[in-house]
Amino acid sequence: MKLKRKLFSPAVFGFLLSVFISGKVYAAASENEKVVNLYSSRHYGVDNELFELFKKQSGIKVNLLQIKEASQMIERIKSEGKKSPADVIITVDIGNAWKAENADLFQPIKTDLLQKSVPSNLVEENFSWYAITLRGRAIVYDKTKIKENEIQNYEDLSNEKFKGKVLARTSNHVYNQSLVASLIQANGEEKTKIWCEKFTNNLARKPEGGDIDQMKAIYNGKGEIAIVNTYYYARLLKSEDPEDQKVVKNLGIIFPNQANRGMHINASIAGVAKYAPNKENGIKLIEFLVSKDAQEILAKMNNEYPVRTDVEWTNVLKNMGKPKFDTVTLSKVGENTPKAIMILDQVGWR
Amino acid sequence: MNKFLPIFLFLIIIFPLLSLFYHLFLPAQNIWAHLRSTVLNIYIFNTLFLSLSVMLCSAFIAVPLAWLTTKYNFLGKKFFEWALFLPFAIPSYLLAYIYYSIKENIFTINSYLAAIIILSLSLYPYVYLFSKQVFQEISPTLIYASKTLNQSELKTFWKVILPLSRPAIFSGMLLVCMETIGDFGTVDFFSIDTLATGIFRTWFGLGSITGAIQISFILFTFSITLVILESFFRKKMVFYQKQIPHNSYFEKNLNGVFKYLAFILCLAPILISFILPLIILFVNIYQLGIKSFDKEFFEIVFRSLKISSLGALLCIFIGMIFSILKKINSKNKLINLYEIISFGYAIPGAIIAISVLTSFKIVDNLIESTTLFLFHFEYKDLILSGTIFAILYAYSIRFTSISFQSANASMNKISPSIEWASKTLGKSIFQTGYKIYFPLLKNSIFISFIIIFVDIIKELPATMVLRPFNYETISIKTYNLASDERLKEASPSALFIILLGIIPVILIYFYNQKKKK
Repeated sequence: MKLKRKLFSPAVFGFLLSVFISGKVYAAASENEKVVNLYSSRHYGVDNELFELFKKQSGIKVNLLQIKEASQMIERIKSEGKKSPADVIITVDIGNAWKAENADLFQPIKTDLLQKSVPSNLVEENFSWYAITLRGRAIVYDKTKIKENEIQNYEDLSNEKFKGKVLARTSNHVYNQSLVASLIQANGEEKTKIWCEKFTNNLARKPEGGDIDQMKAIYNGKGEIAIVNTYYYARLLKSEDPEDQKVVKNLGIIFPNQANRGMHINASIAGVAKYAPNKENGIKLIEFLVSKDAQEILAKMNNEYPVRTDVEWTNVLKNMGKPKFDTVTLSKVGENTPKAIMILDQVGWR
Repeated sequence: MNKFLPIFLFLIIIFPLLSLFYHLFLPAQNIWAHLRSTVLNIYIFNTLFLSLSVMLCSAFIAVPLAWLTTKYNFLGKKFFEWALFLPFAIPSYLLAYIYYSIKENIFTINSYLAAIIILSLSLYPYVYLFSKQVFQEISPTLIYASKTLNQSELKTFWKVILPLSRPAIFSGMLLVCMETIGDFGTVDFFSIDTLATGIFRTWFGLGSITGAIQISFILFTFSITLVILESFFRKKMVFYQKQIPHNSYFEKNLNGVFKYLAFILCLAPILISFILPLIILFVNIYQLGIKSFDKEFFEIVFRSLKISSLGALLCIFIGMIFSILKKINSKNKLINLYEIISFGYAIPGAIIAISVLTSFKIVDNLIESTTLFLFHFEYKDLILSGTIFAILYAYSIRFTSISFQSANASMNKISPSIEWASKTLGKSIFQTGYKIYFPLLKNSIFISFIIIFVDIIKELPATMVLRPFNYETISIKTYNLASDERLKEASPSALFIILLGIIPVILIYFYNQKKKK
């Protein structure tokens, strides 16, 4: 009995200690290995395959910390400060890139290879980050009900003739926030507010579900037009599921604003962290991500547009057409997002 | 030592929460003016409306079922007794995704209604568990007395049973309420703006973390009000319960139509919120093929299993200590302080994660400057950030409330004379705790283990933000795929969230069976 009692508190402390140590051991890993520590807010299976390939080619292991919400990832890196193990930071959506840049998380990187691979309008002006893939925010429509030339610009979606026909996901989602932020840049706050008001009035239902759900809703006759990301549409086109084929059969896609600034894009970007302990490996990783091999895999597996101009597009992407991308408003999207939210709150686009 | 250690432990748990208070005094620019003039009223109304509706709905489902399975005997009763708890293993956002995916038309009904139904169906087990426990402890003599007075069964339930069990039922409803006001996945999916979605919109969209934390303090105030309300109810009701009756001799057999009615009543919630979703997941997995279950998949499953058990044990350990201290120091002023531990549950996981990051930063800086000052040695690595310890720390802040409350409830039924006897024999606080309270609290420990274990399996934001490199858990994997609108591919991991959640439920069942014998 006495023995039991004596063992009790050491057991408890032992438990706590082992918990602590197991955490430390995990973090330390083996030290001889060449590694690069990646903080990413992308959450796609294809990325893991790329990292495997990178390890095969360079011998460098990618340690991945994936935090889906960029603002949270930024908080984590900020709190780690100068000791942060982060080498490379990847965010989805340009607004998030701006937030990271604003928090001073990057260091400028300029290599010949990177500059040759990524067009200069997709690189931050101080070389803090490079875009690695692009997705467009397109408009899909029911081909049996809407004529192709009825809609040409995002701006047209506020037309009263579409009342009760437009579908969109909630404006809590960054894709919609960034779109509105780009509209603010293109047309000014006043006009954008009026546009948002009219757009919200045109909604067929209170926003719910994701982008694919909007396309399904068109199929189910709940609306005729929806704003969706290109890679969801491409995924349905490619899908072998007969349900998906039914949904996509009558759907047409419109790349908006082709006669002017181009379609709003959603870029994934990568940059080297300010206090990167493995800076060289970090640069190699980014160079790899914009290499021909990697870009082809990203396009093929995840239906994203390559940033390289010399990579051939997959058939699915080609069949959708070749859009002009809006790189003009890109740099102001992050800065305009809070304004966009305020407008969205005011007009009641949930 | 005896006085110092608990206070130290208390401070460790409370420290991150305190670090949040600092944000209360920061100006959040123009955010509040904007929120007040636009969405704040909607946030508050929706949060109140939703949490009240879900609370009432889940009580409406759970209390009759708990009563039915405790006091009556009918077809499949033994199975239903524990199976009714199974829907707890399914995160509510998953339930929403699953139903949405099979038939979009189901939700042509109002999205509020859809959210209320989904949340109630996945949260009612909290109320079920608490009411079941208390029903089992109510002495049959009370019911006999009521019968002797010629009261109908319904009236007996209404006049005798319900008032006696109100505190316990309310405890369950309280957890339901806190889960509802903290829920993000489900309400976001149906685009209902609540304070929880407002926190993230303010943080991610408006870019104000201070504003987000300030909104989460509104949530916090809600919860505190509820906790105070609950303890007010508790104080008014004193349990005069001396012995725990053996109740099997009291079970009444149901006959005729009632037998089938009871069967259907019990089957319905399990069917809708457990069996049907499970079938859908199985169909998805069948279509996907077995290839998704590779070595890496099972590594993830085992990691989740490990971290959830560790986390649950840790929370129970801390909860027990504070509950013992609260009991022992019941005349001491500190008791009110200890209650603060409960409030962690009312803070969204993402905000707790931030509080943990902030406090780690402070500790890391402190260690760095100390080592630099004392040994002229610069510590290059982060000591706490990015370790399993960080995740466990967040869990213990958020979930200790459950074990603390549950232990307190049982502790209140233990006569103080037992403790006095132990004191007379010269035993220390911890010896008394280990020798006396621990065995008496076994039941409540088991129950809090299930709840915390399953909660951690399902936990998402804190794990995501605080985890080490290459540390994927089953719920993160599921969420990533589901939020990329790949529900089919998410099915294998979703299935395992549910399977892992079932394990403790089954364990408890067998434990209870053994005890009955």
